[in-house]
Amino acid sequence: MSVAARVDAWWRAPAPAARLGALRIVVALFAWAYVTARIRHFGDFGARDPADFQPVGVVALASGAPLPHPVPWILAAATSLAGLATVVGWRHRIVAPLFAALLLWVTSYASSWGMLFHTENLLVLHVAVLALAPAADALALDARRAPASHDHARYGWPIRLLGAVTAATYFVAGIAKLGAPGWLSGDLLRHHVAWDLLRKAELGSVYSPFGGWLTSHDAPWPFFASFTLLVELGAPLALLGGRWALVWTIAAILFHVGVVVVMAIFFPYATTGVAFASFFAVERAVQPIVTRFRRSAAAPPAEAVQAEHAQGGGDA
Amino acid sequence: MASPRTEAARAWLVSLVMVGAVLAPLAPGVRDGFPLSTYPMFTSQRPNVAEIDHVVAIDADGRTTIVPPELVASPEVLQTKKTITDTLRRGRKAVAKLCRDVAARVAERGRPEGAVRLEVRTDSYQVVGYFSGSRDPIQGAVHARCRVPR
Repeated sequence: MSVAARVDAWWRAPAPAARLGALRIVVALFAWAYVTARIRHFGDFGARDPADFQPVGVVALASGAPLPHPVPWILAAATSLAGLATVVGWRHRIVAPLFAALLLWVTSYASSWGMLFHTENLLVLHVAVLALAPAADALALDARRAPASHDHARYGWPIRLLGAVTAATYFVAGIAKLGAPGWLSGDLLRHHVAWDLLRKAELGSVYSPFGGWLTSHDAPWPFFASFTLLVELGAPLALLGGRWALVWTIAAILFHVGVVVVMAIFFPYATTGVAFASFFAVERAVQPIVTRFRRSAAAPPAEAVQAEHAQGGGDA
Repeated sequence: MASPRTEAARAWLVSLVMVGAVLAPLAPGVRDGFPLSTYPMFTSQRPNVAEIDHVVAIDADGRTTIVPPELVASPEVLQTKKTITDTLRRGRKAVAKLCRDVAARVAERGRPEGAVRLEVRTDSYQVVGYFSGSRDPIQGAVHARCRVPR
């Protein structure tokens, strides 16, 4: 077998449709909850000064000016609705790409007012991957009457791609730090954390007093800096699966918990572990929940069952 | 249903485009963007003195409190910072208007408690030692003052 054939066999290794379906549910559910809980953030730009608008990404390509009120609200609400439809796997081929496009738009638009929300990068990319994949062939409304799908390469490569996008994202962040003088000694990180916390404190925002206290000590910073680099540059190892994926995921979650504790910066998608779900057989956790939910939705109300039993008892 | 060859070609095309796009910021000269980032945070040395543009509330006894970002521009602290800095660039009229707008919101929400006037200021702080020593600014400039309406 040639190297190309081996790579192809690994990348497109057959996987169960339920795994991709479970990933659709988990990732889209997170994205839907995120957008819905922050709908003001994504929809309310009425009080912003139009002079602060600096379009980024797709917004820069499409528009040079802020959208008139209430268009951002409508788009945020549409994103939430499309997200819900994607979670339940309804008309996936149309709705999931629509959700991915809307999510890309509303997050890019919110990042077009002076601050790039790097916390949302991976979520947007994962939703895009799932939108381009047959992720509603199982555990979906679309799959209600379809025969059970067998393991297939068409379900395997999107799962690999989700993992590769995760690994590449961390790897890029690691390479950026590798070229920064003073990173490994911890001086750069310590100074940056002190600077960031000071800025938050003097802008009246939430900051970590513990992180502030840490910046007055030398000892932990070389460790923090090395650990960060290890997690980021080591991300491709998670693609090997098994224990590699487990160890890396634990390390990545610890890293993000550390960022919350020291810097009061919360990467919800990563810290909750949802960003790393593609490295695991998530269908084992999701499938029983969906089955139970379906049974309870399909079961007739208790009173009707009792009445039926009473009638049936007379006939017996 | 597509042929196996077409399915394979589609899988590789989508995969290479997506992974290539995420790795593209590694190329020299690429600017940070969304959702494709160069992750420039932490890669450059910050200055030893932090210059902060902020809005400060002052009570009747002269005690100062920082006006929280959601009352200035946005709950997002960095967007608020940018709003203040950009307003300073636009000149005195714009700064005076920002001060009045924030004062109206401070009056409406009743916080910071007891605020009687606001100042839009630029203050400089020593980064090293800020959390272990003095938090007083080493230098400061007032760009606008306004009263909090009663």
